[in-house]
Amino acid sequence: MTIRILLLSILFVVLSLLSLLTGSVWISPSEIYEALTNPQLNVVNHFIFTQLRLSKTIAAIVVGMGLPISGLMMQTLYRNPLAGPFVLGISSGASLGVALFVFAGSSLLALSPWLLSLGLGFFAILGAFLVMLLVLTVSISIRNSASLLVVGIMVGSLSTALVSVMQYYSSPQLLQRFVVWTFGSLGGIHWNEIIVMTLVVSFSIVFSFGLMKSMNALMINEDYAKGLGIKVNYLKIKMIVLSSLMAGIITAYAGPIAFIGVAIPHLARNFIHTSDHRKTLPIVLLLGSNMMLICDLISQLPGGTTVLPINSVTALFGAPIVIWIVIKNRSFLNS
Amino acid sequence: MILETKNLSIGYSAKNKSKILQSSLNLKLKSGNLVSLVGPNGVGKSTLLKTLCKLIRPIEGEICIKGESLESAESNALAMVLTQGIYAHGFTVFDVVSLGRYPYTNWIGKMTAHDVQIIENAMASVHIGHLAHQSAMQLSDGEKQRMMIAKALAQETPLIILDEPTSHLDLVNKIEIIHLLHQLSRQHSKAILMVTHELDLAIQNSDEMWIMSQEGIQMGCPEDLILDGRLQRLFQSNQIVFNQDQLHFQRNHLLSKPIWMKSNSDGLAEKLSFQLLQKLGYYLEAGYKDCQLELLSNQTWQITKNNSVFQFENLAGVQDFLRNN
Repeated sequence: MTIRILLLSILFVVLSLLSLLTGSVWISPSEIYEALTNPQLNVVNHFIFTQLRLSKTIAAIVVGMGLPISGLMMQTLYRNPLAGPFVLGISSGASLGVALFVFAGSSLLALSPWLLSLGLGFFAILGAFLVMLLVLTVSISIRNSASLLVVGIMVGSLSTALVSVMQYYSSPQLLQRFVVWTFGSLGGIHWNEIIVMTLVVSFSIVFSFGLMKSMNALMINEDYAKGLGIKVNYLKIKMIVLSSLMAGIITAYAGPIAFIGVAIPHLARNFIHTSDHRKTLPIVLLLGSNMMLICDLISQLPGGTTVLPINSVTALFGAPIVIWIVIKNRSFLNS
Repeated sequence: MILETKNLSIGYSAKNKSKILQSSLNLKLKSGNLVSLVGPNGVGKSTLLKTLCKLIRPIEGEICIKGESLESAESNALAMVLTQGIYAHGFTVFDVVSLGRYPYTNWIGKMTAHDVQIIENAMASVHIGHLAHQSAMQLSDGEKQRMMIAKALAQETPLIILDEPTSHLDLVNKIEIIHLLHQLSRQHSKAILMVTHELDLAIQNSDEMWIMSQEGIQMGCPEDLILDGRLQRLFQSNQIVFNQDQLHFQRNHLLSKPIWMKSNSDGLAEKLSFQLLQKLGYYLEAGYKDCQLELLSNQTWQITKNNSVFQFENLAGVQDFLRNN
């Protein structure tokens, strides 16, 4: 366990540095040092590093930590290895919130960047939270795990359909803004958005560390958890709020990013052969951020000047993992 | 007195109507006692357990644990073992048993050497110490039940409540689990309350029986309950009778055909031959000449029917003959 954490931490440092150095142009460590110590003499490098690189790397780390923790909580809450922000339609709910906000009117464009960012985040979180509540309500009457996933996918389709209707009636200018957002991107996130996202995700992660013990009991059996003095209803509300906060704010600023939320918790459990949240939580954080940094590096297409949408890269990694989960859990999912 | 209920009513309450299953229950449970709660399906046994475990609210009345109201009692007042399955993929047996220590550990669940010792002792008392590092989902039903009992022991509560701890188990495991609970009530001087449908095992092992019917709960020592006929009344039906010689409930055979059984053999072969005859609907009538069964030895049976004589080497032969003639 300790060795694994150490290895993942070393990998994390290496990948973070690589992510800072690579992009459409390669900036060597000495050039970065020059740019930071003498901004006036290296205006271009200084701009690239502070306005693009640093924010991109931080975004990759925050997304890579937040989405998988959110997915882990959903998998525990629904006792379903296939649950995740994207699969259950939570990300779609967040998209709907964003669409409502973006299409609400051109007058919003006049808002200050800070208010715009906060509004975007708030509506995305609200959308995520409402979908999460809806899916949870349905899950009370439907115990079958496959049906739950179908409900999640349907709720997602519903949100997408509503968004399409809104797109149809919106102005070309707003439409473009929204379509660019749906591609998902780690680059080009404003600094104020990076700050809000980092604060929200860090708060949620710190808070979720306090729930690790109770989540173990909740996952094993709800009634036993009650018997151990755990206030199960409060715990569930906390988990819903925290996972919606993370999935919502990340979707708001980085766009809908698929598969990371569902795949990473599963990889983590397999990596350390336990579902004990006290052990999986730190591993999920490290594995998730490493995976996002790798996806980011791949999306830069080394040597090329174009950037692949991050959503496609995560799907390339994530979709095979989800298929693997289905095959591995076939007996369970059939029940 | 570990557990005491005062004028307790139990049942389910929906929005504006409630269904009361039992009312005015005044139950008392002493430490060191194994108590079996028996009764027909649907009479409210599981509801009573769930109410005692705070999983559903009582409709009326009060529950006290060690003289303290259950509402304000700590989570280490009672431990439960339920019929529902557990979802413990990726947890070891040790992990599941250590749930019992959750009320005692800090926010991250850090266990002291003392906690680990208690968990190991709990696993040893139910004989699953060797399974500690196995995956909890790979255990057999009997081992899973032992694991949950170990979890309850690790909670170190004065009272353990179990809902049908022997359902889904084979006969050997049923006997072992009930015997284990009997031992635990003695060794750890705990009060143990279980719902069970294993009437014979309950009679043999429990210190007290609670018989639940539509009319309420009868409490007493199982032997007393049999002596004054209260236990028999629970299962009033033509299908079942209480066998006073063997002290257990059995099927009430419809006996219509006479047979004369003569035996030169030891007890077991004779008893089994008698049981077979009952199953086939025969009653014994000494001196009945038309149909006679004679045990010549432990391996030879001779049937004399209408002056013809047939010999058989096993009871299957006897059975075939009697069914077809």
